[in-house]
Amino acid sequence: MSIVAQQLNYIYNKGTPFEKHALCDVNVEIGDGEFVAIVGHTGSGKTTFVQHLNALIRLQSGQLKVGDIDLTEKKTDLKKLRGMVGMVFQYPEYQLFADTVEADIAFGPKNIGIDGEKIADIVRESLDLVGMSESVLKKSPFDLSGGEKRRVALAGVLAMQPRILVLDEPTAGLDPQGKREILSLVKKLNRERGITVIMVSHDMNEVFENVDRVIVFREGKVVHDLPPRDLFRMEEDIVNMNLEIPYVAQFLNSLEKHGITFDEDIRTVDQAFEAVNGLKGGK
Amino acid sequence: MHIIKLTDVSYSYKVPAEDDSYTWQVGVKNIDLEIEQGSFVALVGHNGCGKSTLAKLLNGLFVPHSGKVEVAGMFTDDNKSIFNIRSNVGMVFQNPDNQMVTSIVEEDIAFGPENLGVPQKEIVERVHWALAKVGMSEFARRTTTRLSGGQKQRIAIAGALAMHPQVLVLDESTAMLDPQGRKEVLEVVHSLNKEEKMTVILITHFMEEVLGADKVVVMNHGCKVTEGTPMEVFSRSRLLEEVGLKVPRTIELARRLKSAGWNVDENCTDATELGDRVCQLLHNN
Repeated sequence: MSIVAQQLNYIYNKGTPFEKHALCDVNVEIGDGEFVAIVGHTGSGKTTFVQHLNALIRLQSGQLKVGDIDLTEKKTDLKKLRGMVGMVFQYPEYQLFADTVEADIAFGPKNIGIDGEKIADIVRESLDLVGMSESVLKKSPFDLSGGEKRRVALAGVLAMQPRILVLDEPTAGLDPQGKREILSLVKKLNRERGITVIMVSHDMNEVFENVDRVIVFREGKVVHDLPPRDLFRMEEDIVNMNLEIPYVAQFLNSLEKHGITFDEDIRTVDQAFEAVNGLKGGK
Repeated sequence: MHIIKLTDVSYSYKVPAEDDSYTWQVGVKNIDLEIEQGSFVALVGHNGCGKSTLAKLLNGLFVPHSGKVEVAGMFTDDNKSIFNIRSNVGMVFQNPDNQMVTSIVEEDIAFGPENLGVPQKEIVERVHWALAKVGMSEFARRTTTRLSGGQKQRIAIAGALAMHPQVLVLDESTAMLDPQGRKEVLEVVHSLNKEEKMTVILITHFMEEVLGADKVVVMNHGCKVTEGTPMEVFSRSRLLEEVGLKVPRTIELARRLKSAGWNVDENCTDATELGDRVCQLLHNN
């Protein structure tokens, strides 16, 4: 399901001394099934932008279409929109509330009036999608580990069967193992289920290794919209925006300065090693 | 000279079972550890490995079920020393929002020394000193809620500093910050270590953050699995992998190239330098 935003503008506290122009003429198109990262320094407008996507923030000016829903129209079908766009906030495990994992995951589908038997199937399927066994269904979500809680929270969003998944820093605060698990899960949802994924992230290494395209926000504007390899070639620009250059990108940039380039799209340490080790000479 | 010494320390949590009985879950088990005065120690391990339990044992928030924890010559199981130990070991936790006790920055920092009964005039001096140390002097009269995450954590550090501790323990204090905030906090703790000779214990799972430490301690399932300098620990990459950790990407690449026969520095932490070296080797041959 695709997203088209044109000339999006948003001002907080309009007409007061605290007025803040959070989005300025934002134009973004995201195609069906893409895996996109949104990056930028704190306060750059990235959260304001993603909150538009399921109308947590109502459109002030400009145009926005999500799938076949036009948010510019006065009467938008919010129920349908929010079923389509699943929003996973930062630290989603803080939003777990029910007595059991089962009840927590079932909350969303129950609210939109899906009947009992079907809900049980959806709950099981969602739990399976996040790689957890049915044995946790009757447990309290609060007895689980940090990484498990986050996966249950994610299952709660997946139970609404969204076509677009927006994740705000999905791996923040997790250990390396937990990070890997969440990212491979998100990748699987993108590849196997064709869900469009929009991930807000501060971790440039993670962005570089996983996404097809990076959109960079700065002071409310989209300043770059590029594949990761092309974006992180602009070292000076990236550093000026207070962002980090991924280690593998730094390494590749250094090789490029000496005229060594590769045909394949290298993102990970493994790929960089294989490519360099395959070069003739040097050893 | 060690400032902290743990001898065969174990601690378990009481977990209630279905009937009225309970079971015990291991927090840490048989830990022996010495921390040198003025050193910078990084404590790493995945979630639930016992890092935070260990931190809480260091200032007597937990008292070991067996073994001894010695801090600056005192023992945490001695009730008479506990007050003294706590003012000697400052703690900074993960969530910046949970650690602010007042609404004005300087009042928040004064809270600790006030509770110790420090004279008013000295409190003012300590607050100014602590704020200067974390580079936040101009924020003295600001509202705590309007600060960024990194600034809040620096205020939390200043609050601990105002107690004049000999040891500063940071329990995943950078985990919830953006890269800019992480950088700010790390710069502050490194400068405290260098300039004030303060002993720093940094608990983290960002492996890049352990590079500047004198010693790295790796924990798993409540046990200490290995310790050494960062490079010694990184050379045990299989062990790290087993406990769910990862060598920083640049070092991993350098080590793999080295073992494939490339004459590069296996401890290289700068990816640009590593790239330059590879090109030099290609050029020479």
